[in-house]
Amino acid sequence: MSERITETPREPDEFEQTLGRLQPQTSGISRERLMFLAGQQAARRQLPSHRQRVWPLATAASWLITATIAGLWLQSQQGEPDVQIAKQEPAPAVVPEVIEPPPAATIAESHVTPTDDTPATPQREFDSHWRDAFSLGDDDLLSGRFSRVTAIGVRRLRLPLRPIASENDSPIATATVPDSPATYRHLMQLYLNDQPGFETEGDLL
Amino acid sequence: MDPDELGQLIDVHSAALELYARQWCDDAPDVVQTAFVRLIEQEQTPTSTVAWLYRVVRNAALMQRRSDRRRQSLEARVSQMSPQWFVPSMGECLDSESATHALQEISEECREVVIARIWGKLTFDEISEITNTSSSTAHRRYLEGLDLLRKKLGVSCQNE
Repeated sequence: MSERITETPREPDEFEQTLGRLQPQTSGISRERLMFLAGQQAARRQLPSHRQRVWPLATAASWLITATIAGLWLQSQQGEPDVQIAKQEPAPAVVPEVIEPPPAATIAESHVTPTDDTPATPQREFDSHWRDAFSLGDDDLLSGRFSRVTAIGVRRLRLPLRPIASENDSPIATATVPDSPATYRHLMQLYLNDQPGFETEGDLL
Repeated sequence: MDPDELGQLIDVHSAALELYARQWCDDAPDVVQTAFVRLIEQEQTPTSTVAWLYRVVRNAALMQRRSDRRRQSLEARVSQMSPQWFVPSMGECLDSESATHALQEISEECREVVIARIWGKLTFDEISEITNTSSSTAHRRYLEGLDLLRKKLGVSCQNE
C-alpha cells in the first residue's frame, strides 16, 4: 500500500537554508555548444519536411547506383573467359620444284581472242571498219541495221576456248584458229540467214 | 525548445544536475550535457522539463556507474577523483568539504532525495516519479537524510 502525502508548502528551516546556500561545483558543461545545437535543431524544424529528405534520398540513390555498377562490373569480370592469343606457325612442308611452262606469249599474240574485255578504242575502230565495209549510211545506223549486223558478226566470230586438259598443261589457253577467215561474204551470208524473207540473190551478194 | 529557454535552464539547473549525477559517477558533466542534448532533440518539450532532465540524468548516471563498477568501487573513485561537490564558501557556518563528506556518508536513497529537494528544488511528487517511489517514501527519506546530515555536521537545530 502506498500512501500519498499532499505536499504542504512550508518554509525550509535554518539547516535546509544553510545547505541550500552551498553552491554545487560545476565544471565541463559547454553552454555554447548546447546553444549552438539548440539553434541548429530549431532551424532544422523550420525546414519543410521534403527538404529534409533530399540529402538522405540523394545519398541512398548514389549508393544504389554505385552498388549496381559494382555488381555489373563484377559480373562482367566473372563471365568473361580468358582469351589467349596464340600465334600458329605454319608447319614446314616440302615445296616441289616448279616446272615453268614454255613461254606462250608468242602463241597468244598471234591468236588474240576477241572478247567483251576488248578496250573501247579497238571496238570503235572495229565498228568503223564494218561500217565502211557495208557502205552503211546514217540512215542505216538510225534504223538499227548496222547494230544487228554487228551483233551477229561478233556473236559468230566469238571463238570458244579449248578446255584445259589437266593442271599440268600450260595455264594459258590457246585460242583455236577459225576454219576460215571472216570475210565480207561470209558475214553477209550469216546475216542474211538470220533475216527471214530476205532475197539471197541480190546486190549485196 | 526555444534557445532562450534552454539557456535559462542551463544557467539555473546545470550545477544541481551535475551534483545529482556526481553521486553515482565521475562523468557528471558529460551525463548532464547528454541530457540537455536529448532535451534539444525532443520534438515536443516535456511537461515538466526540470523533472524530465533529472530523470534522464539519473538513468544515464546509473548506467555509467554500472560500467564503472567493473573497474573499481564507486566509493574509492569518488573519494579520489571528486573530493569537492560544492564551491568553497567563505563565512558560512557549513564547510563545503564537510558537507561533501557528510553527503557521501549517508545512504544513497536519502542522499538522492535530499539533493533533488534542496538543490534541484523539485517537489516530492516529482521526486517520487523520478525515483519510482511514492511521495510519502520520498518525504520520509528526505527527513531521514536531513537528520543524518545534522548529526554528521554537528548541527543542533531541529527540523520543524
